[in-house]
Amino acid sequence: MSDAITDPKSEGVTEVQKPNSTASGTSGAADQPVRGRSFAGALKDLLATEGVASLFAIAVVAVVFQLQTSLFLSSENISNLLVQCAPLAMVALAQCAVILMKEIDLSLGSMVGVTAAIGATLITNNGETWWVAVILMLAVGAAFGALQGGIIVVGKVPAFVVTLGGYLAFLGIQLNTLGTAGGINVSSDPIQKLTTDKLSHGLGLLIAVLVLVAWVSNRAMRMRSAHRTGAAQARPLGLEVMIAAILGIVLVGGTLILNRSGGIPLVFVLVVAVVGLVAAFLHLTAAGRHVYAVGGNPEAARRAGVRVRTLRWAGFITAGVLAACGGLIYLSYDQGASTTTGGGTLLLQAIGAAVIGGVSLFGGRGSVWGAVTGAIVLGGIENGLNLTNQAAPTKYIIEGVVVVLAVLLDSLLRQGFEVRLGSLRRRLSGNRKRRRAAVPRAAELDAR
Amino acid sequence: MENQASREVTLDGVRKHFGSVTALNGASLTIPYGKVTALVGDNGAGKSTLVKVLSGVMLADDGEVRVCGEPAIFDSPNVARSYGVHTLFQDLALSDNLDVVENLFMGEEVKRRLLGVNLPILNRGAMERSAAKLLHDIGITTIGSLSQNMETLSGGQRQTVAIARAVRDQADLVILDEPTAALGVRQSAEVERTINVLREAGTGVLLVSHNLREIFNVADRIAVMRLGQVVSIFDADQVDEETVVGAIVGARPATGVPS
Repeated sequence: MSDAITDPKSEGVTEVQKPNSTASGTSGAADQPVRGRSFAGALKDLLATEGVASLFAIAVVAVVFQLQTSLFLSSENISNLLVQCAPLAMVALAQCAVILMKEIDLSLGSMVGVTAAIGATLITNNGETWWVAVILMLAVGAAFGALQGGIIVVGKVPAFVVTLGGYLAFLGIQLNTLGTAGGINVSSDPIQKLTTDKLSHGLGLLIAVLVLVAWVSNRAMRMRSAHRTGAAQARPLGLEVMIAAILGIVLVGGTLILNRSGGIPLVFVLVVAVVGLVAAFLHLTAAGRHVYAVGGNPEAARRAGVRVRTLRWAGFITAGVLAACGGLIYLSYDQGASTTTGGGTLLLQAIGAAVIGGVSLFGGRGSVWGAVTGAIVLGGIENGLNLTNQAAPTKYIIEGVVVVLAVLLDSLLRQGFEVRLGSLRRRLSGNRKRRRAAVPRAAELDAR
Repeated sequence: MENQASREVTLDGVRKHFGSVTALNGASLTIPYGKVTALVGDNGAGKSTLVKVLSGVMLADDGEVRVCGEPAIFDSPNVARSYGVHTLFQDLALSDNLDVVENLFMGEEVKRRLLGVNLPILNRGAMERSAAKLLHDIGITTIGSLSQNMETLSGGQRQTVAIARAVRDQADLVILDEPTAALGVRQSAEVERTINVLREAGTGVLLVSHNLREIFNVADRIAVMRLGQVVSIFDADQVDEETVVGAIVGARPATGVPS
């Protein structure tokens, strides 16, 4: 076999010398006229981004409940709300790890319950040190995730079925672990501090400012590189300033408000940090982009050499570990584990939170930040309804409606804009008649 | 590459049966690099099966595939690709939810380096520059932004991105299966232009098409399949449409060079 055949791929991937380049080294994009984006156009695109709708939902929830009770936006209540949202955000993040790859994990609620129960047993009954218990909890989450993922990936059984079985089996293990008492209290100080500790005022402000600086410098770098390559998708400076200003007000203002009741809750900062880590992995690494590729078109990913099955398996393991983190937060918040830990509507709320946050159930679309914003929407509604003394049935009805509404709004923002602006443009350019003529489809397709 | 004469992929007496149906009945075809070979034939003539054998989707029951004279066994698309044979199927294998750069570099991402060690962090800037140069080199000018998702591109643009991907992977032979079947006139012209660029760069192209106008526009050679065999190979300059159609339907005796 000749060298030319066996070894053509060892060249660096960046070197594309195949076609004889006539214009040496000129960037293709440089030939393109740089299309300046209008403020309105860029704003429209921003609003149509997955998950942005959930930010508006948070604002609506805040206004609606603040009008009913002035307690809602009080420092103490916001602090409570962020702590209450933390486990839901964690489980929603766990769900994202598999949803992004077109899978689903119905066992995550039970996974939360079983890991909390095991943690409680280890600490209270066996007298283990808290960190040993935490490590074992995470290991159990990973092991259960690996077991389910293995059956799904190697045995080619649908995730729906496997994790439905897991949901029951883990619930059984949870009940068995807790025994006849139905609950184990945990009085370990470090564990409790997870949900009671708050950042010192100075540290909170420092983090808020650092996040803001990181955001601004990141956007500035992107604008510079977009300018250099002539990319047309850069946002106008005015919009960037507006976004940065809003972010700054929320970060610094929010910290100042929270500082009045002791500071930013530690657990919320930790959850946001974990979400940030996962988001960075998804956006900055090849494996992270492959997660989106698997969610978008698994066959294309496979043909491109992406290890689809390994990635899916890893997704289920990650989901298990993150669910165990959720179990840990409940263990701290409830000061123990009970038969109802991780039960009830937690699983469905987590899926709802992810979807409200703009993560598509069909895979490949959305950002894991949606897990946090979606959890704040649902947590905010629950918190507000509790404050205004509304009964549980009302809560369920409203939450159900909100999940559907959020997705509807998201879908309208994404497609409705196109449809409506498209027809408006045609009307303005006087093509309305032609649109009604016999061949509208072909004309539309060509115009795209 | 060593010897100019051997820069080609050869199929020799390839047979493929599906139960009692014979899809390929000893098909032989030589596809030289640096030329555009069109593959035509009626439905059921065996074109698709031939492409599947060449792309590694199917293994032939009998016969031989040779790359530059060396026998090769294409038992998976990855093996075929490692021999430089890339097939662009009609679904194009692109991810709609990812952008142009990500699709071009899928599975071969450029990483950041620190002190000579590859970090697990993507080097987006390098990939964007490389992608822009690649698209420029193969004459693709209609894609506005490399950061736009595939779903926002037209059919012709998607086709050219898929071709660019094959070029990036340093393909020696690109197989296009009905690349313009679903495209409008303008978009087809764009694809035809890209095919010409590939030929000039010394890449072989096997173009499966029903569109004789397109074939006469871009092809150097026209191979006609009938009943599972390559019955004639014409020089595109020295043949008219009527003769090719005659060979396709079998109305006239094959006049081309039997391979």
